[in-house]
Amino acid sequence: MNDSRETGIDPELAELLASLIDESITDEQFAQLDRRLKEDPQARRLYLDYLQIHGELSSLAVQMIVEDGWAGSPPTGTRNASDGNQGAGAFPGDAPAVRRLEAPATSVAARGWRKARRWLIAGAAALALCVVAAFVLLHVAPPQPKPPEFFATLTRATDCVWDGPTRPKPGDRLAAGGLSLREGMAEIALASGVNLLVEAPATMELVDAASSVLNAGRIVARVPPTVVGFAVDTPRTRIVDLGTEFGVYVEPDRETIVQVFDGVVVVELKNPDAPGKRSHRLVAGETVRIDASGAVELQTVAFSPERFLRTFSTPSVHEGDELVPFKPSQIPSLDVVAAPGPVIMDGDLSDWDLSGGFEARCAEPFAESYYVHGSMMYDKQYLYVAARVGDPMPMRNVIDPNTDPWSAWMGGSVQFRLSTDRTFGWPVKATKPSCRRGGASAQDTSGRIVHLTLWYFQPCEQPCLEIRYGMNLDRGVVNPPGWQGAFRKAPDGKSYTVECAIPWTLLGAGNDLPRTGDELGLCWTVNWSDASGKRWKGQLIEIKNPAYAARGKALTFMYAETWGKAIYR
Amino acid sequence: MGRSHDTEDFIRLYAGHEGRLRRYVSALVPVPADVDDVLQETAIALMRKFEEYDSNRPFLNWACRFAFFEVMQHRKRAKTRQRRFSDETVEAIARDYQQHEQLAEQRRQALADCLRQLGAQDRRLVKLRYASDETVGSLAERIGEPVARLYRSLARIRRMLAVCVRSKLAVQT
Repeated sequence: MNDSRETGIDPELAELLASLIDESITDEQFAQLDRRLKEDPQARRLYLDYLQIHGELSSLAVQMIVEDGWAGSPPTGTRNASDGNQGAGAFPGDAPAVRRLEAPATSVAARGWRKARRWLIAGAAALALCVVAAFVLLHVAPPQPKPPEFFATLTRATDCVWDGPTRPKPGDRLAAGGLSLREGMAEIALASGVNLLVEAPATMELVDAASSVLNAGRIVARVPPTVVGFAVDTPRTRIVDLGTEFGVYVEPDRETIVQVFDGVVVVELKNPDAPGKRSHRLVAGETVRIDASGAVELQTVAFSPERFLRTFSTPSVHEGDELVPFKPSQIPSLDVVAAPGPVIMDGDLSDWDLSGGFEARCAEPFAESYYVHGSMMYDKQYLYVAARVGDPMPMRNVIDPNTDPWSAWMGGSVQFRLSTDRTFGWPVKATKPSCRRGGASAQDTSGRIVHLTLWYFQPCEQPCLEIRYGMNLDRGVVNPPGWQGAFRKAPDGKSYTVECAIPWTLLGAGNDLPRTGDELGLCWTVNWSDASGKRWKGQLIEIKNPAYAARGKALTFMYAETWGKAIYR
Repeated sequence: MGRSHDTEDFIRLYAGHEGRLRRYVSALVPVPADVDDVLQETAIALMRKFEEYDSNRPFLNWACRFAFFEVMQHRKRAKTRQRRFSDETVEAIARDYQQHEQLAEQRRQALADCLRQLGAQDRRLVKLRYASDETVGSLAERIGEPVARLYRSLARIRRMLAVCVRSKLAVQT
C-alpha cells in the first residue's frame, strides 16, 4: 500500500477531508474546502472518494469484527437447543458460523436515521451500557468460562404465564437458562443493550448477552448499532445481526421465518448438507422461510408486519421519537342506539344520535391531543360507526388497500372488534387458535367474530375498510361492496371525523340482526402514526372487559374475552 | 410506463437504496444531523410520489432527483446555518456525483481488499471508530489515547486507504 504520485492525493486536501469527516473542521478550514471543491474537479473526486470510504467503513468494520472474532475473542459459542429430539449434525452448535458471513454490501442502510433516532432516545443509561458492552467485547473479554451471572433483566411483562422453573417478574434479573412463556408478552433487556420481545407461546434459552436460542415461538430482537454480531439460534438456523431489528418465528414443526424490519441480518443455515448458499443476507422489508423438511431451502415469503408484535401496549413503549400515547381502559361498555332516521355518510355527524357514545383520552402528556369520541348506531340494514379522533397528524395513512391492507392499521386507523352472535354471550370466549391449548373452538373461527379497520388512504383520498373474520384473522375483505364511509379533517388540522355504514350481511348477521337488549362483545382501538403515515406510534384501546382492563391485558386481537360490551338499545 | 405503487415494493426499493441515497445526500450536506432530516423528507416525498415512479428506470436516479430538491429546500429553510457549502459547490458535486458513482462497486471491493492489508493496530482503530457511533473525542478518552494523535492516525489510515483504492482501480481500468 505505497503512496504514489499517480494517485494524486493532495496532502492538504486530505487533511481538510479528514477533519470534515471527524467533525473537527474549523470554519476557516471549511471555507477553504468549499473553495477547493468549487474550483477543482480533482478535489471533488477526492472528496467523493473519501465520503464513499467513510460510508463503507461503517459496514466493513462490522464485517472486520465478524472476521476477526471481536479482536481475537469471538462471541461465546451457542449451546445446542436442548429439547433432545434432534439428530446429530442438525446442530453444529459451537461452530463459528459467523465466519461465513457475506460482505454486507452497501449496508449503510443498517445505520439508517430511523434506527439512530430510536436508539438515541433509549436513554443515557442504555447508551452507556452499549458503549461499555462494546468496549468489553472489543478490548477486554478474554475467552474464558464465566461464572454464573446475571446478564439480562425482565423489563416488562403483560399477562405472562410461565411454564418451567424460571417464572420471572418485571424487574427480575436473569442468568443463562431456559424460559418458557405460555401466555402473554415479555420484554427482556440484555446487558449488551439488545432488547428481546417474546410473544407467547414461546420456548427459549438465554445464553449470554451476545446470543439467545429460540426453540419455538416468536421473538423480535432490537439491536443497537453499537452491538453488532448479536445472534439468535433456532433449530435450523443462526441469525446474526448487523445492528437492526428483526423477528424470528419458529413454528411447532420447526419451520422458521425470519423477517427484517430495519437494517441487515445474515441468516446461516445449520444443515451442512443444505443445497445452495449456506448464508443469506436479508435487508429491511425482506422475509425468508426455512422449510421444516430436512432439505433446508430459503424461500421468500411475503413480508407481513403483523407477523410479529413489535411494541408493548404499555405507557413506556418507545416508537419513533415519542412515548406512545396510551391509557388503561376505563370504559366497559358502549350503547348502540337506534338510528333516528336516514344517515348521510359525509363526515358530518349532525344527523347522528350520539347519546350512546364514549370519550377516552390518552394518558398525560398526550391527553389534550390524542383522544376519541366514539359512537355506534344501528338499523335493520346497517351498523353505523362514528368517531372523532384527536390526531395532530390526521388522515395521513399511505398504506395501500390494494396491496397491503393487513398493515394499514399502523398508518393511523380506527379499529373495532365485535361479536354479532348472541349465542356467544359475554364475555366472548373466542381466542386466537395458536394461543389456545388444544384445538380451535367453533367460536375461534366464527364468521360472526369480526375485526374492522377504518383508514383514510391519503394518496387516493379514499376511505377504506378492511374486515377480517374469526380470531385467526386469516379471512377477510377489503373495501367490500355495500359499505359507505367518509372522513373529514377538522379545520384546525388537529382531529378528524370518520363515519361509516356497514351492512349486517358483511358482519355475519344478515339473517339474524342484533336485537334490543343484546349484550355482545365489542372493543375499540385507535391507532396513531407518525408524520410519514405508515409508522405506528401509539394506540388507545377502549371498551374492555373490566377484569382485563385492570390487569392491562392489551392483546385484544388474540383474546376476545378481553373485549367490553356493546349494549343494543 | 411500468407502474408500481405497492407499499411493499417501495419499502424494498427504498431499503435497498437507502445507503446510496444517504451517501448522495451526505455529499451535498456536510452536517450529519441535517442529512437525517433531508433523508426523512426525501423518503416522505418518494413515498407520496411512488405512483409516478417508472419501474423500468433506475430507482436511485429517480430518488436522487427528489433528494437534490430536498437538499435545496433544506438549505432555504436553514439559511443561517454556518456549515454549508456554497450553491456553486453543491451544484458541482451533484453534477459529478453520478459519474463517480459508476465505479462505486469496484471501489467498495477494492476497499475491502485494502482493509485486509492494514496492520493489526490500524484495523483495531477502524473497528473502534466505525463499529460504534462514537465521536473521536469520546473514543480517544475511552482508549486512553491523546485525541490529537487519534485524529492523526485516522487521517493517515484514510489516506492510505484512499491511495490503495485508487491504485487498485487504476490497475483495473
